[in-house]
Amino acid sequence: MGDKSDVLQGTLDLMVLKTLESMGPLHGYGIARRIEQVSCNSFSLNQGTIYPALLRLQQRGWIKSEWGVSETNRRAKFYSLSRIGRKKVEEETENWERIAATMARFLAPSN
Amino acid sequence: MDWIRILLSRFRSLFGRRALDADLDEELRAHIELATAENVKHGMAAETARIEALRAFGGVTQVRESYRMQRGMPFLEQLARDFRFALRQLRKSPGFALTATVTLALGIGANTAIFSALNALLLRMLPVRDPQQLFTVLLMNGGTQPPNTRGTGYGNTSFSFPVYEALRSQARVFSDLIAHVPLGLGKVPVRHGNTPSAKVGEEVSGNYFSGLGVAMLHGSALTESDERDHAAKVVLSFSFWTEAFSRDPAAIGQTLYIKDVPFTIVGVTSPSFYGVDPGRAVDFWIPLQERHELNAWGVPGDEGSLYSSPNWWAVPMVARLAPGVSPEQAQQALQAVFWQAASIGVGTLDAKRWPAHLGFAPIRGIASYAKVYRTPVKIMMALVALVLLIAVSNVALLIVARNAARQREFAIRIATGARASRVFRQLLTESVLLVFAGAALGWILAIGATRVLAVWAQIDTGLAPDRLVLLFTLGTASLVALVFSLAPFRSAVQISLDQALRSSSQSMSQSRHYMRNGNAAIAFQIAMCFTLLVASGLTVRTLLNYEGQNLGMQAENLLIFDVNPQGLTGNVQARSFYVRLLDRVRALPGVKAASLVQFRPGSGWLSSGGIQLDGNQAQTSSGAKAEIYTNSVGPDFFHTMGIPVLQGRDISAEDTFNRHLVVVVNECFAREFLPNGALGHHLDKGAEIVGVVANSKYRSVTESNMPTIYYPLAQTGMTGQVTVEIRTAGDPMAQLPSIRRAIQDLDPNLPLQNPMKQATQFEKSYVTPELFARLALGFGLLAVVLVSTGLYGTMVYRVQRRRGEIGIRMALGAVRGQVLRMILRESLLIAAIGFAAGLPLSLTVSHLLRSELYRLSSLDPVSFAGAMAITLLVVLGAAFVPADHASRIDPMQALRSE
Repeated sequence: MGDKSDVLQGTLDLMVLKTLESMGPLHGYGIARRIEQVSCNSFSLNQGTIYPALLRLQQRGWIKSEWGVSETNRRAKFYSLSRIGRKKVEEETENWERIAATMARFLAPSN
Repeated sequence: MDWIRILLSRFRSLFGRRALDADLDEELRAHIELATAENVKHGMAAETARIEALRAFGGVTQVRESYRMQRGMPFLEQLARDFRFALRQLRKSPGFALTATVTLALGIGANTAIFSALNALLLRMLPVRDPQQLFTVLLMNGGTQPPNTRGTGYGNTSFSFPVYEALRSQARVFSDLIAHVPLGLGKVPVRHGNTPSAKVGEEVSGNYFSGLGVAMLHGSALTESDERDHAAKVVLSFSFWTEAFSRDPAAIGQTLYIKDVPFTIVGVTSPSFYGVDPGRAVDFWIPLQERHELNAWGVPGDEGSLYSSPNWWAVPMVARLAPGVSPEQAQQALQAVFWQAASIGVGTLDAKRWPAHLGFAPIRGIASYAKVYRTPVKIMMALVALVLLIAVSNVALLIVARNAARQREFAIRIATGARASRVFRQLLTESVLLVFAGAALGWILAIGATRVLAVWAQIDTGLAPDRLVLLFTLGTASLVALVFSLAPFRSAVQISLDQALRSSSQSMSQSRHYMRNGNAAIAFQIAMCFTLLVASGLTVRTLLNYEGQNLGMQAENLLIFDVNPQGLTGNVQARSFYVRLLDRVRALPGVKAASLVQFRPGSGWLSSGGIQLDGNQAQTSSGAKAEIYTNSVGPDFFHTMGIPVLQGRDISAEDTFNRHLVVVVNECFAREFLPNGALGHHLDKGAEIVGVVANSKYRSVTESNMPTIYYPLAQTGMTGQVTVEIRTAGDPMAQLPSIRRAIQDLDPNLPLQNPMKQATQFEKSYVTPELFARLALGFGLLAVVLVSTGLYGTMVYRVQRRRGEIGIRMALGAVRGQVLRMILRESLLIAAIGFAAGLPLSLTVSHLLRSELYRLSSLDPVSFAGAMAITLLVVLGAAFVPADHASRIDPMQALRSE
C-alpha cells in the first residue's frame, strides 16, 4: 500500500460530484466503490471518509439525500445532485482543470 | 452564500440530535452490510467478508465522531454541556449558590437604583434638543428684587416683564429667551367636559416649545403669534392627556376650561417632557395672557397684570445661550441692558444698595434638589458604593472559600486526564452562571427599588433604572466574580496530585495565605458596615429630631385643603361665600372648628416685609429694617389651629373690611418690639393689635421663631386661593368625603386641592432628610445582611477546614468552652481591626454629613456606640453558629477522617 497516495484535500468532493453526475442517485457504499474503481485503487481511500464529504456537500446544498432500497433490497440512503450541484460540478471541473493544467506546466521537463 | 446555508444547516441539526444520530448509524450499518454482501458474492466466508468490509471502511467510530463535529456546532454543544455541569455543581451546594446570587443581586440592584435616582435628581438633562445650552436665569448678588418693587415666586428667579422683553431681543447672546410663569402657587382648577380637576399650568412665551426643542406627539406647539394674540390655545402634557383623554388623539380641538376660561387643545407633548423642572411636573401650557382670571401666580387680577405692572417681578426665565456664548460672557454682555430694564417703573437704581447682576445656572437634574442637596447626595452615592464594595468582596470571599475547598476535586480531575483548559472553562462557566443569575435578580430589584425611591423622593415624573448604571455595576460585579473564581486556578493546576490527596491539615500552610487575605477582606467589610451604620444612625436621629419638633399647634386632627373659587368679584361676594362655606362645614357632625388662612402653614410659602409700628419703620436691634412674617387668617383661626391666645383675643367674624382694622401678633413679635405690652399699639394703616398668640411654625418645621403678624383675611382680601383649616373629632381624612359633599352643594365646580392633614403638610418640609434617613438605614441594613452572610459562610468553611486541628485539641483535653472562645476570639480580633479601620472612615463620613444633621453633633455618641454595638452583634452572631458547631465536634470522628 506504500505506493498509494492520500486523497488531495478537496478532490474527494469533486470525485463524489462527478460520480453522482455520471451514475445518478447512489448510496454511500456505491459512491465509494465507484471512486475506487475509477481511480483503479491508485490512492488509499478509507471508505468512511466519504461520509463527512457527503455531509459537507449536503450542508452547502449541492447534493440531497433520501432513503431508498438498494439492489439487494437493503434500506439505504441515496444521494443525488441538486440543481445548484449541477451548476457547481461544471464550475468545479473547470477550476480543477485549470489547476491541473497549471500543475502540469510546472511539472513538465523544462526545455 | 454557501456559509449561510452551512450555518443554517448546522444550526438546524442542534435540534433532534437523537434522530439524526440514529439516521447516521443506520446509514453506516447499511454501508457495512452492502459491502459484506458484495464480498460474500465474490466468494468470501461470511465472517471474513464482514471483517474485510470494516477494514475497507476505516474507523467507524472516528467517522461518526468527525461527522457529528461537522454536523452541528460543537462549540455551542460543549458550552451547553459545561453549563449543565455547572448547574449540577451549584445545585450540590445550594447555600453557596443562593448566597452568592442574592449578594450580587443586592449589590447590583441597590447601586443601580440609587445611582439612577440620584442621576435623575442631580445630573439628568432635559429631554430636549441640546440641553447643555439651557440655563435658568438667576438674579445674583442682589438678594431679591430691587427696592420699591413687589415680587412673586422665588426671589432670585422672578424678573419683571420689561426685563424679560429687553433681554429677549439680545439675539447675539440668546438663541432663545423663554418666559414661563406659573398660573398659581400650586394647581389651578380646570375642567374638560363635566370633570373638574386641579392641574399645574404655566403661561409661556411663544418660543417656549420651539426654543426648548420639545417635540409634539400630536397637534402643534404654541407659536410667537399665539403669544402676541394671547390666543386661547393650550398644549397638554402626555400624562395629563393620558389621564383626561385616555390618549385619544381626538382630544386635539376639544375645549379645556382653565379657571372657567375656555381654551382649545392644540397639542400634546412627547411623553418624557414635564416642563423645565422635572421636580415640578407641569400639566399644561398656555400663551402669556392678559386676562385678570389668568394672572401670573394666581395673584388676584385687580393687583395688575404682568403687562400693566412694570415693577412686578414675577417672570421666571430659561435661556438658550447662542452657540459659543459662555454664561460669563452673557452676564457681561447683558449687564447694561438688564440694568436699564430693571429701572423701568422704579426710577433710578442705586448699584450700591442693590448690586445685582444676572447669573446663569445650567438646567440639570431637579432644580430644588440639585441646588441644595448636591453635596449630601454625593455622600449618599459614596455610601451606596460602599455597599457594592461589601457585596463584591463578599462574593469574592465566598468563591475563594468554595474553590479552595475544591482543590482536591480539581487535582483529581487533572490527574485523571482533564486538560487544564477544561478545568478553567468549568470554573469560568460556574462564575458566569452566578453573575447572570445575580444580574437578572438585581435588575428586578433595581426596578422595584427605583419605583420606591421615586415615591420617597416625591418625584412625580417617575424614575426608571438607568441602563448605563446597570451596565457599570454589572460589569464591576462580574469582573470581580470572574477574577476571584479564577484565583484558585493557578494553584489547582500546579498542585501535585500527591499533595492534594494528602490530608487537609498538611496543606494548612498553603491555605494560611488565603486565610490572611480572607481576614483582611472581612476586616474591610466590618469597617464598611460600621461606617454605614454610623451614617444611618446620624440620619435617622436627625429625622427623629425633625419629628420631635414642637409645631406650636395641634396639627394632628387638622384637615387642610385649598380652594380657589372662580367668579367671585370683590370682597363682599368673597366674604359671603366663605361665611357660607364655614357655616356649612362647621355644621357637619365630627367637625369641631374651621377657619381660613392665606398661606398654607408648613408649605414653604410665606409673605414677609417691613412694617410701620406706631408710625415708625420697625427696626431690628442693629437698626436695620425688620423683616416681619405676615399671614392673613379667617375667624377663630387660633382656636382652630390649637395655638394658645396669650393676651387679648382671636380674630373674629366681625373683623371685616368695613370695620376697625385689627391685627394679632405672635409672642416673638411682642417680645422683640413691644416688650411692655403689645395690645393697643398700631401697625400699618392704623391696624390695632388686639391679641398676642403663642409662637408656632409658619413656613417649615426647621425655622426658628420669627416675629409674625396675622391680619384678618376679610380685611386684606379673600379673592384668589385660600386654604381651609378644619379641626375634626376623629381622623381628618375620613371626614373629607362629607366635607367635600357639603362644599359641592355650595359650588359644584369647586375642587378641594391638596387635601391632607396639617401634620402631613409639615412632614413634607423634611422630605429630603427623611429620604436620606431611609436610604442610609437601607444601606445599613444591607450592610448588616451582607456582612453577616459573608462572615457566616467564611467561618463555616474555616471551621470545616480545621476539623482535624480542633479534633486534636479536644482529644488533648480542650473543653467545649475553650474551642468556642478560640473561634470567637479570632472573629473579635478581626472585628477590632475592622473598627480601627472603620473609625477614621466613619468620622470622615459624619463630618461630610454634618450640614445635613439637625440638632445633632456629627460626633453623636449614640450613633457611634449604636453602630459599634450592632456591628459587634453581627460579628458575634455570624461566628457563634459555626463556633458552636466546632465545639461539638466528636474528636474521634474528626481524627478518623484525616
